[in-house]
Amino acid sequence: MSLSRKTALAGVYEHPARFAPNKSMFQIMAESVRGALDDAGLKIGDVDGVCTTGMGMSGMGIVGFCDYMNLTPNFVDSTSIGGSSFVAQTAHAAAAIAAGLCEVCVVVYGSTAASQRFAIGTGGAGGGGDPCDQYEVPFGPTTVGAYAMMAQRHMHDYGTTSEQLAEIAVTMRLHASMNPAAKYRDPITVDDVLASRIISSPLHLLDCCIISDGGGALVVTSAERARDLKKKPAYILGCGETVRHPARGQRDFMEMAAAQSGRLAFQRAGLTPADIDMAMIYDSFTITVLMTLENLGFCKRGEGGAFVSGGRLRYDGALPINTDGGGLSSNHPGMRGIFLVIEAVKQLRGECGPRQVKDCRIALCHGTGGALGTRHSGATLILTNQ
Amino acid sequence: MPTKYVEVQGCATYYYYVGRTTLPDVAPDFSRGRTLILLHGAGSNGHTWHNQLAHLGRSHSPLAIDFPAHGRSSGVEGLKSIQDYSDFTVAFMDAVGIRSAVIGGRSMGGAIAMDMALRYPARVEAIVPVVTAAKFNIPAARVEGLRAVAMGRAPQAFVTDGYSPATIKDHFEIIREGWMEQIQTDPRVRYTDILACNACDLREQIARIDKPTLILAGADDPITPPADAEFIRSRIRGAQLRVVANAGHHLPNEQAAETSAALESFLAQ
Repeated sequence: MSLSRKTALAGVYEHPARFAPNKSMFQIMAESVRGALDDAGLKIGDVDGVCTTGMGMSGMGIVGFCDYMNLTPNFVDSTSIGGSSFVAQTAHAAAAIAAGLCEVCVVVYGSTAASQRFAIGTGGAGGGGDPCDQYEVPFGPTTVGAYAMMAQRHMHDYGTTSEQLAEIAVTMRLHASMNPAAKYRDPITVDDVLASRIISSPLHLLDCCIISDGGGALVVTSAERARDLKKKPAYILGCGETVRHPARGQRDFMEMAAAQSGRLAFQRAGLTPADIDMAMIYDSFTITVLMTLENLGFCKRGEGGAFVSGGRLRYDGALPINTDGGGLSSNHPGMRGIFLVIEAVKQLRGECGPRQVKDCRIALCHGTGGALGTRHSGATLILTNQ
Repeated sequence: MPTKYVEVQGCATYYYYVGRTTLPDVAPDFSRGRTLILLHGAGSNGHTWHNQLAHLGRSHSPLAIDFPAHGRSSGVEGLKSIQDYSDFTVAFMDAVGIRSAVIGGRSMGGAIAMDMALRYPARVEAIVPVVTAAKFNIPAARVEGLRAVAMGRAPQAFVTDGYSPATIKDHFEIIREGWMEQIQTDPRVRYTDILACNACDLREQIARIDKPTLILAGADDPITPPADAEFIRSRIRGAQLRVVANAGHHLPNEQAAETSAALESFLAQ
């Protein structure tokens, strides 16, 4: 059974908060749901599916959130695979709707990571104390350390440079300068990135995503129903998800989940990377973007450094990436997947003002969760406005 | 000490006060004794006044604000100028129903208090500029150092600059408390606050202030030395100056009891 064009994103909302110590996680989530329903022209009473997870909630947090919202949905999913969770949940919602399990599903996320001062990247590895973590924990890994190891290896194997990585951060900041809600909007240069202090060699501070509060929500429904709603639908063409783990050294740890999830999504959509007009690529660190583009097939492995150079990723370049400013400059409350989908939908609708990508018809979102080099997840979603 | 939020200029503004708690949308009662609004310095937050709130709260209605993007107030960017902070403070007073108050401020907050006395005389009953200056003279190297932190080039510095040698020697816990307050605010905000301070020059204007004024200075303050306080005293008619021994630029924390006592006797005048 193909999911292609059966379902659509009918409403999106990105919470404008970047530092909101006056709000709780559930409050940000509730405000986001309201925003996305308003965007779609739907009411809370229309919702019969709920997907959520978050770093600030327990494994059963979705039940508590339904209590908070007084919802009794027919479909729930709290898949928790790191920052990519909401990209995967969007696909799960689409599958549930196509299978008749529910009609209107909200995917929602909220976090007060900044105001609660979570040490997201430096406070320990992505693992949560699972048995498999025992092989790395004695060596004191951190999330940023794992990504830095990937960058170091990429530089060693392929000659990738810090300047090439820095251009990704500079491009994200350029995009953020056109997003009034972004946390950091002052333009930066490659030299600024290289002059920022090393967090984990070779990654500089400005190679790392920021920490913010924030949240957002999506409304997924059938393509048929979406056509009658307020905004132009963004149809789901294809999706894919998987996990990667190094099998304690037996698998190439440079291989990302994106290689498999991307292949599945392109196959299911009947498209190739050349068909993509803009992409939202999880940018926990600059190296994440570079390696994800390689693994998704936008360029060959090892060619990422050259690929991201020369302004290609700018909103007016050949492959615009993260036009909202990404996690590197706009917002990163711990798990960024939902913002990838929100911005992609806005681009497909033509709502992005100065940072709008011209003739944007097909957008790709790819979320990465966990830590590269140890255990991580990948979820890919391809959307169209046609 | 109770705290509350109020929406001011789109910012969820956090403030510390004394007295009974109230429902979220109901302003507390500020009618006991005098109403005193305490303003913090660059990159700091209202908690810096906690000793004075506890002391003065017995007979007055003191409160201390976290400015936007400082401490527990929302937002990620500080305001651009001393005048913007004055306008914000007046908007805060409107939001919580305070018609006029005594305005005290430390360092940047002291400049805001003086600016408010000049531009909003009807809202200001008296002012207490604490360890401040009519024109800050922040060395270029210090500004550049803060910029380096804001640009991610240097880690945030935890230094004893500005404290009295007496504090460094005998009361290091006060310095640690200051550092814990420092990390509540993004270093970028501290940097833009310092730019706002440097851009402010009230030397000509303060002679027009005609409000009761108590100036407090730290004898050992290297950032706004007693000479800055003496300049303000010489320009504001009737201004009183007290230079407190064994205190630096963190006077309200370094000599908490003496600061509170000075404020209390001033409020009684």
